[in-house]
Amino acid sequence: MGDERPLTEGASRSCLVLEIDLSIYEIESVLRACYKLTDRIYAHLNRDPAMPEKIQVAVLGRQPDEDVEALLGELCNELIDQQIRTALARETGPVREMIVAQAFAEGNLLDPARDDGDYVGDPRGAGSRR
Amino acid sequence: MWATPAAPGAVDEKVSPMTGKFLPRESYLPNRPGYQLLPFRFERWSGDEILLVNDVGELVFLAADLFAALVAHRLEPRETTYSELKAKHFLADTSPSVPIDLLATKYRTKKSFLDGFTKLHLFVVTLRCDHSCHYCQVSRVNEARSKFDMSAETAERAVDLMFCSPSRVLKVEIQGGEPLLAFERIQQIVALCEERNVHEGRALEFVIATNLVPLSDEMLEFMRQHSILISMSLDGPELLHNKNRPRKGNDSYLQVLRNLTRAREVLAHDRVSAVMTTTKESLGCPTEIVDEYVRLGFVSIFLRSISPYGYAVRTGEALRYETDQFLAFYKAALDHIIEINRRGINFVEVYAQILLTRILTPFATGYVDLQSPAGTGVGAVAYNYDGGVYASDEARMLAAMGDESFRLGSVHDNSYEEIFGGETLRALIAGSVLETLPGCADCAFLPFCGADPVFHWRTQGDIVGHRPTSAFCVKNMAILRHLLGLLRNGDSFVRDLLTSWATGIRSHPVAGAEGVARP
Amino acid sequence: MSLPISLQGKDLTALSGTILGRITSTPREPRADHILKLESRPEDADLQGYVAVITADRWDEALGLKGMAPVVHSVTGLEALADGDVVSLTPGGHVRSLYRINSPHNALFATERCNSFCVMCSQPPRSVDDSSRIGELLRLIDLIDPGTRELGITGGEPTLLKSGLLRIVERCKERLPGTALHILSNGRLFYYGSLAQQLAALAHPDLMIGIPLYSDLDVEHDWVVQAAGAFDETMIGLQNLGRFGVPVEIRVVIHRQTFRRLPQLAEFIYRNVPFAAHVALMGLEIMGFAVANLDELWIDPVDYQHELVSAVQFLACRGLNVSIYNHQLCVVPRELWSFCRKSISDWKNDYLPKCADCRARDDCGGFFSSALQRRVSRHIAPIV
Repeated sequence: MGDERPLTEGASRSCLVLEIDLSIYEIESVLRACYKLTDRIYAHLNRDPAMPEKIQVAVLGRQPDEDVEALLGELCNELIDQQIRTALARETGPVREMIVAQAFAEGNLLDPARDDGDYVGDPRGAGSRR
Repeated sequence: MWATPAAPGAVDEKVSPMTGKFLPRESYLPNRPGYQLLPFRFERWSGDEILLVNDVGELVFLAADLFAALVAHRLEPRETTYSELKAKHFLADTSPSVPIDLLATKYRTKKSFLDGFTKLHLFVVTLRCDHSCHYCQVSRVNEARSKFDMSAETAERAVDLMFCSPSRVLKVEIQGGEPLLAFERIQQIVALCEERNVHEGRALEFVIATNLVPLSDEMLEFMRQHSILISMSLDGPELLHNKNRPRKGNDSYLQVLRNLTRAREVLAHDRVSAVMTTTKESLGCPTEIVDEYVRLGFVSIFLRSISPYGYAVRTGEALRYETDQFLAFYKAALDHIIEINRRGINFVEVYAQILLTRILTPFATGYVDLQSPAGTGVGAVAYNYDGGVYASDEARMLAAMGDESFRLGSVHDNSYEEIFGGETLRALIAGSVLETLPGCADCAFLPFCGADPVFHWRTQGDIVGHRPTSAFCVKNMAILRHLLGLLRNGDSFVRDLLTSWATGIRSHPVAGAEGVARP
Repeated sequence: MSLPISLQGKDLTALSGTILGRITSTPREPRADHILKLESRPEDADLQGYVAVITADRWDEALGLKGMAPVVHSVTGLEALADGDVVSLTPGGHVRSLYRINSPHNALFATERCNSFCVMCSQPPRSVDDSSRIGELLRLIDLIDPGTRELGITGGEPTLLKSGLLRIVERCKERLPGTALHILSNGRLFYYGSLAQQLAALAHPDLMIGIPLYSDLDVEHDWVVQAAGAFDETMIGLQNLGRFGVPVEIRVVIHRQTFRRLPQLAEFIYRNVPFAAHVALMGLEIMGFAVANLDELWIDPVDYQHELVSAVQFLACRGLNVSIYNHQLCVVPRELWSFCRKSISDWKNDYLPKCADCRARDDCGGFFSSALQRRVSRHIAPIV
């Protein structure tokens, strides 16, 4: 899972590096997962131009006695959830914006005809049985 | 299964010739398989369960495998959770336009606390005080009268500014220092407001936040005549109260109790409420504090977390540790309150009540310190003794510590548009909409929570804050989880009790309609 | 008890169309509103100007009354009509009551047409030309006693009269300002915000629209009302009525096809129609389509008491006004008795013989007369 590698030259603690395949996890997911754990880790992200489809996350515990391997495991699990969230945001984001816009709009944004509605002409056919 | 109705000519049946048949359920199913997801957020609840919450706070617990199926669009309509998710607007399998419309109405209802803009107006009539409470930044003991008192002119301009607010309801909260030490100023403010309101026609409420010690009969009579509420400070039993709130003679508690009795005699019992501040000393005695409130006949307590605005500013690890201690204190106090209710005494924890209202009802709550966008300026505003206008009481306290970041202007120098349309307030609003904040945007508890930009500025250096290390976030998430856990796993008494806090319907209404608090 | 009345007489003067009038047994002004009800032929009767004259007596041509006022004679059962009742007379001598002054349950029957086709409909719709109906209803409103406490507007589907319904509500406001108006509607045409807005703009002082919802799921509701898209239209209709401040009541008929999700429907109502002024949970009326579909619809109320308790408690604990209609007290758990109402219109209300021994009989709403011949709970028993 991770390589042991010094984060900076002369550093006394070593960190673990997680390599993430960007065809599986989108960059937004990676960033959010790292953000969520930044109370317990320092994270450094790096992308090798020769391998643009992968990203390396170097993880160091904030406390010296932190179990970095466990944290790395947590980061992996968090990645899965964040990837779900990224997909959800893509699917439901526009609807959310519509809901908020409609909540504060004066008229009906989706179906303006409904408000001024011609209940006599009844284009929707609400007055008949389908 | 469904045949044509009985033949024409049978009694009672006059079937129109064009509608001779009843169609089966299959005829009303969506004409295409599959569904689209509607907006929601989720949180891993336990080992096997996921908590899903939609944008208006409706929630569903799903087993992990069903959740995986749901987000992969593989959930079968025959699953019972499918119906629940559909009815609660987590998914739509026909046109989403009606669910969107309903969600928009519900969202608007949840945000209705914004209607009318600024409702709560704090008037700091003096900084002079006879106490020197450990957590207070502003009070000036033994100072000359005029230097830290609000002038008549400042009061007049502040009242003018207040009436610029479009809100139908105006809640005037008079503060200090100790406001009763500047009683003439209070009288002037009340008179100005009432006179102005003759043609404004707003719903005016007055409350004085006081330590109650300087209370006189004359003051009580004035309060009675003008229907003024009292919000008094009571930190707990005598030892704790006096330790938190020292004054000359160290007799704050005795004075408070004496005046509490007098106040209740002159005003009605429920016109006097109490407020507590939690300090490190408080953390060790949750049940004693609650018992003190019950003993003194209060019907509720608001367990507020330790403010970071104390003399020793606590940030980082120290604040985090204190938060964990506060959470233990809170849970112990809440447990104790539940037990008190079991014994037949109606007593409410107000912070839980606010959160439960958000979880269990479609309605908004007006609590300014936990809103999205934050209540700073938008819900409440503070007029300082010198005419400075601040986005909140905490913003004013920051100013007393030398930080004027959240000063919106001055009643003497700035117009309503400059103050409420200025950059400071705009930045606060822009930085406190949870849907846009890192960490909050994805949080399942978003609909129940709120932002505190001033707190984050103080403890973390910017108004947005860093969520994973935010004491505010840790506290709220823990309390929300705790309450949701009680709602899910508590016995029926606990569940009914917590529901009654949210709905305001106290006794179980089905028992012969006695004692029912029905609107 | 004041039942709707249908009487038959002989049309002496050959009525050309339907006429409406208010019954009076003594001479009364304005004559153009009144139908004079006579015991016998008066000697020197001044009948000119009355809407009509009706009598149980047998009159003939020779009496020379023709030309004075339309006459319907030989009416059997005429003694049942009271002064103040409003009746219609149709060619052929048919006398039909439209309004009974001594009944608490009067309704304007707006139309027989409906845009839904509920599987348990007690008043099955008919597609008839009712363009003349609006005029008749307006006339009827003019004749109804202004002291009337409550008036229903029902059908069919009243909103199908469209602007005609608005005119009716407006006329009620003008002529019957002290009368509460209760419109029963499926709410679907309020999908058009303009209809809700125009109704609200009439500012009727005491108006309520009773709208049925049968499920929290569109499929289930649409199936019960046999109309695709009905749920969506009704929900939008409810939102529109709420927006414009028209009081609404949610009505749920509980039968075998709707009881299972009753608790979920309660939660759905709370979340999506929290402004509902009232929620009525109703027992099945076994008339109309409910008769033909009885096997699929009938369920003993005792068999859904769990769902009923759950739904009522849920709503009541959240401050909604809840009532249980059309249930007998002996089949409802005691803890729900305070929600039961005597809801059945007097003219179709009845009790079983064994109810005579029941201690709670006076508080109990009893049965639909139609039910007594068809199906009642197996648990009906006097409470001792």
